[in-house]
Amino acid sequence: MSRRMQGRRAGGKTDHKPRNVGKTTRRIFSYLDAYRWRFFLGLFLIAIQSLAGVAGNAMLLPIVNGIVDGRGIGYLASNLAIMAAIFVSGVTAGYIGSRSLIYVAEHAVHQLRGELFAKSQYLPMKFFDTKSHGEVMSAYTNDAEQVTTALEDTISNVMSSLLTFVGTFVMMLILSPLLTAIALGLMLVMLLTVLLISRFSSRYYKKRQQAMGDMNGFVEEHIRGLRVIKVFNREPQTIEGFSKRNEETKKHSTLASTFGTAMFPLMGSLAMVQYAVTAIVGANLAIAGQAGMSLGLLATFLQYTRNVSRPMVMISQQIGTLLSALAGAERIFAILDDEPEVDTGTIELSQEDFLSGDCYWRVPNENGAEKVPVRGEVVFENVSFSYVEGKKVLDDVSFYAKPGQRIALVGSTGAGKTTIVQLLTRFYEIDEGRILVDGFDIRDIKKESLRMLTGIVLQDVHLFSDTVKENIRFGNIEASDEDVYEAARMANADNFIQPLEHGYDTEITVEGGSLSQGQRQMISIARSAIAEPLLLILDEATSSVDTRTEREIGTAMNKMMEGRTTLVIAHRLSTVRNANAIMVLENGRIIERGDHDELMAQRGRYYELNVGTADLT
Amino acid sequence: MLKKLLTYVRGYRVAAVLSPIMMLIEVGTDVTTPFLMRLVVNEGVLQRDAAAVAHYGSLMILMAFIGFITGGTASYLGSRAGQGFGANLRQAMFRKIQMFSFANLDHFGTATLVTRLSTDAQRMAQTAEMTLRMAVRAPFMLILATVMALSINTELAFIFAVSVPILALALYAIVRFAFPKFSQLQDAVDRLNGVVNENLSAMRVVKGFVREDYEKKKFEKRNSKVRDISIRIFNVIVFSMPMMFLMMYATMVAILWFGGIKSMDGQMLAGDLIGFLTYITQIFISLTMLTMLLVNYVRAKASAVRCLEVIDTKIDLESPVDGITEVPSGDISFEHVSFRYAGMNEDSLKDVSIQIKEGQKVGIIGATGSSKTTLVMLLSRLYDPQEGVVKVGGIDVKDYDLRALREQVSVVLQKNRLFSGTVRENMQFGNETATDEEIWEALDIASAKEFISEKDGALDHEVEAGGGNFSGGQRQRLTIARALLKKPKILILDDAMSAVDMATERRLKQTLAAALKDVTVLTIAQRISSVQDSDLILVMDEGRIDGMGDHETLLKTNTIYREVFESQQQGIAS
Ligand SMILES: Nc1ncnc2c1ncn2[C@@H]1O[C@H](COP(=O)(O)OP(=O)(O)OP(=O)(O)O)[C@@H](O)[C@H]1O
Ligand SMILES: Nc1ncnc2c1ncn2[C@@H]1O[C@H](COP(=O)(O)OP(=O)(O)OP(=O)(O)O)[C@@H](O)[C@H]1O
Ligand SMILES: [Mg+2]
Repeated sequence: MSRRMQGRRAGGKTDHKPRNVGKTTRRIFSYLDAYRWRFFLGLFLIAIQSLAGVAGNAMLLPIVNGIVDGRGIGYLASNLAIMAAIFVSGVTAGYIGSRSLIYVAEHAVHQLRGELFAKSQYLPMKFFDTKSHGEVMSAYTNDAEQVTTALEDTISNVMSSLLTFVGTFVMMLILSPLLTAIALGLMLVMLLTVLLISRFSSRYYKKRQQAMGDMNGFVEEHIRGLRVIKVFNREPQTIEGFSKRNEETKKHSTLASTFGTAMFPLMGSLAMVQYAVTAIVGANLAIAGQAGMSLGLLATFLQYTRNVSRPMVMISQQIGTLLSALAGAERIFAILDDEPEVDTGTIELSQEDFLSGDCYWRVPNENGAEKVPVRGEVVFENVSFSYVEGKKVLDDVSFYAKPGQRIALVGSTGAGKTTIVQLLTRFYEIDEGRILVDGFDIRDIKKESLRMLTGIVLQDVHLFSDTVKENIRFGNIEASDEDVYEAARMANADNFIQPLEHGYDTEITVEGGSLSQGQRQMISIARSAIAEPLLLILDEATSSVDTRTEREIGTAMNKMMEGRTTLVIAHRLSTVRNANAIMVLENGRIIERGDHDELMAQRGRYYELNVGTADLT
Repeated sequence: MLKKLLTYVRGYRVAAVLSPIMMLIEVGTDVTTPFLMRLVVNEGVLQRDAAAVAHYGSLMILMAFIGFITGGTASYLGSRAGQGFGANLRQAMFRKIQMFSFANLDHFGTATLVTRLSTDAQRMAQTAEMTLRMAVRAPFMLILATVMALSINTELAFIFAVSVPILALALYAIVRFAFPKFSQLQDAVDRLNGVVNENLSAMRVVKGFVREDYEKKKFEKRNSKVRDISIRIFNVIVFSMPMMFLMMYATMVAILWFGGIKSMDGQMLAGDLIGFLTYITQIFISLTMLTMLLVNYVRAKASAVRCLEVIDTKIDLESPVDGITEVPSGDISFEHVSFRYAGMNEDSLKDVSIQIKEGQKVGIIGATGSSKTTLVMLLSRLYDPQEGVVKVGGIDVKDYDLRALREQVSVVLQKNRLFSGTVRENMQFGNETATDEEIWEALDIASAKEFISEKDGALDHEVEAGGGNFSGGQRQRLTIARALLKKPKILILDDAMSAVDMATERRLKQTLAAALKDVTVLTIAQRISSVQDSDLILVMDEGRIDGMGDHETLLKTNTIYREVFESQQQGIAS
């Protein structure tokens, strides 16, 4: 079994057993460091609460005996006063303790979630390719929640149950070892029952989690794809697919919660049996006057008997919660421990304004740092790359873009154009060859600097649910409103943004809401324009924009990019025609290069790609 | 609201009724135990009667047994009914969402629908289960225990009359405070998840713009908000427990005091006093349960509202009763059609009239936002126009059975999407019964055969959700193949080849033309080359038809068309 578990990817949502309890626990506690005294204070106060409960009940013995023996009001009053004092301090301690634990747990989990989010910003793209959103999301939702519950409730509950149990047991032992021995036998039966049921319920719990995860994944995908479903009349099949998963979830949930909740009546009944047996034996002893059994003693003992089973049920339930919290924490830690993007570069871009011209690379050397001016030259040297091992997507690709040049990449779909862009920005690491920017291997440049230098407009538009203005400003958070309007005008987006209901303050959604596809692309272009990059990459940036608008955008962009390097990917001739050089990519190799006229004259692949558009020969 | 929710107990009514009944019996056994215990003490021990002890003791064991059987059954039935209710509710919501029109979807947005179906529905199921388990048990136990206590001694019971109302008042205050806070918390959590979700989808954008810190700040704001609201709520919620204990202990002390005095005066038996104490515990346990239930209701109410909102949504576009199921031909006509999106203050389509005959190949071209997409969406009735009539095969689209219409008018959406699963499963989306042979044929027509056969497993190759492991152009061709498998009378390609290179496009167009001789094909494109061979080309501008005709005619008569043509022509003519 353990082999299979280990074989599974860390973070797979099917793991329910923590792999290394000790280590994970220590690590969770490291998050409590800042609140250590508060945490232990909380636990300590809750321990006091439990002990006070036991001690308070212990006061019943002298009180009841006092009443039976008729010791008088004074005796009763003083004992009751002690009892009340014990109870009040217990309750107060418990309340303060709970508050401390809430504070600690919420802060610790807040920090944990923050670290998780921070970490995922620096994970390589490969990570996101191989994990579904659902999987990563559940770290923030289910897993984090379980850790919170554990810190807030479970640990203290287990502790206080344990204390109550031990305390009660000790009191029972003091009161009557004989009756305790009898009770112990039944307690063992109870313990076995608890263990047995826990096994069942955790098995069904696991199945339930699986079924639910599967169902939620299905829901997510099929609600996002609902428009396609409707167009294809697939509602019945989709509903059927959902029903199956819904049924499955129901089945396992029903069993899981049956076993979870049946524990209470079962344990309650066993406790009752225990009570009865103890009562019968105890009463007989009391009647016979044996073993020093008194009525008060029996009453008190029986009260304890009732109390001893509850903590057992509690502990057994809480252990399950604790284990799944640990498993959840391990999934979070697995992400935290994942290899971040490799970033060993030391060459930095100076933070000064690119436009002012005095923009340079800070190249560290023995005596401090050397300043090298930024020019925006890009060179690919024999680059090879594959997403999946053994399937080369780029094969020995070499090309260069001189500063200020406009270079176009064309080629049939799936040729590897987008891949080139993703390599230049180091979303993925190349397998062979080198990529140089201004003569530096990009692996020697700090990633942050490399990406500051480049502005990319991606093929798939991703906007955020925020206002139009903030979406554009994403490209340069220091930009003023005026800059935003300027960038929008450059991308020709101002035309359609102005008439929107709230203009630039219109809220848009991830799916774009009320924008047409071309309009979304224009916002995405504006977002890059506002960043004023030295090296601009346009990957099918205007594929859904009409030619006229595209030309207007092009003119504005050209002006902005004067003296800077641009890399365009497009299938439309009008987009690539003016490039200084065009690379024709086919099956991951560059098969032709030259400017438009040369390539047309060559009558090769480029010619083939274009001709026919006007049927000329 | 409650009445509405109750309808989802359908199919589990027996369980839902039986579970509380079983529960009642169980509570009965619970409550009789201290009663029997009292008898053990009073009649057995005090009378030094071993037989009586044995008698009442075995009665207790019998009670335990009954309690176990009924309690266990109640657990099962309660879980069954609760989870059944949850499943029914989810099913109803999902079914309803599947019926949503595009306009309904625009209204909600997908993100919240997903949370409503998962988180909110789940909370409802849990609440239902909890209700069945506790809503009957707690009050019943409360009443029984009170009656029992009263039967032992009415005078002592006046202590409850003081402590219970105080407690109730405190709990009420807590709940009043917590209710609005819980919906705040729910919203805050929703927003937190929203940030994470978007961040994951847009990771390349975040990295590309080096906006990790910005995103972290955005997240941190929401993250601290969740923390602060949680602390505030739970600090108040945990206050209910000490309140409870305090009142319970106070009652206990008071009873021991008054009862003790009575007992010493000989007015009360010691056994009665002990029995009385036990009932106090039971009374307060049931009060605790009621509190938990109450807190849970407060939380669930927000969820219930969110679930019912989905179910109660009015579908603004429905299939007519006895709709026509056969589309007689691929003719299309728009007659003075005007359309406006909800919440917009301008028409997106303005008085559009078009006639298209079966088998015609039609190109649509026009500026970004000129409503090309909007126009074609009216054809398969994804939206209804406010004015004018859209006809397919000479019949108003509103008269068709909706499914039949969409079966025969196939659309490749501009925002297309592949689903996780194999390539084959994705293709069968278009036609469930498609054989491998037919699929290969469609892939061939869509120029997708080549790259699919190169992938591991070919038709069995796994597609990632959203199609992430295919290039943009490959994805587009797969969606075209999928639409072809429907064998439609009308095929609409909305910008479906924007990411496809021109050589491939040309090949694609040829195979399409050959394979779809009788099919009316509408192609929206930005490249003149994509549409110039069409029988009819529509030029759209700001929601109007600016020009109509074939390539030659438009070159002569339409300025927009000519300009676009010329700009795209430069370079080739050299
Ligand atoms: N994340 C990925 N995992 C595995 N394979 C991938 C991934 N992304 C792309 N590929 C494959 O790599 C090849 C090149 O893809 P790329 O996106 O670079 O093509 P492209 O030239 O940009 O095409 P298009 O013009 O259609 O956008 C394709 O065969 C594609 O299926
Ligand atoms: N769901 C919607 N709700 C409100 N307005 C919308 C909606 N969808 C589109 N619009 C608006 O209607 C107009 C036409 O949009 P449409 O998507 O039809 O344009 P399009 O011609 O297809 O553009 P593109 O070439 O960019 O795809 C646009 O101004 C857009 O903002
Ligand atoms: Mg469109």
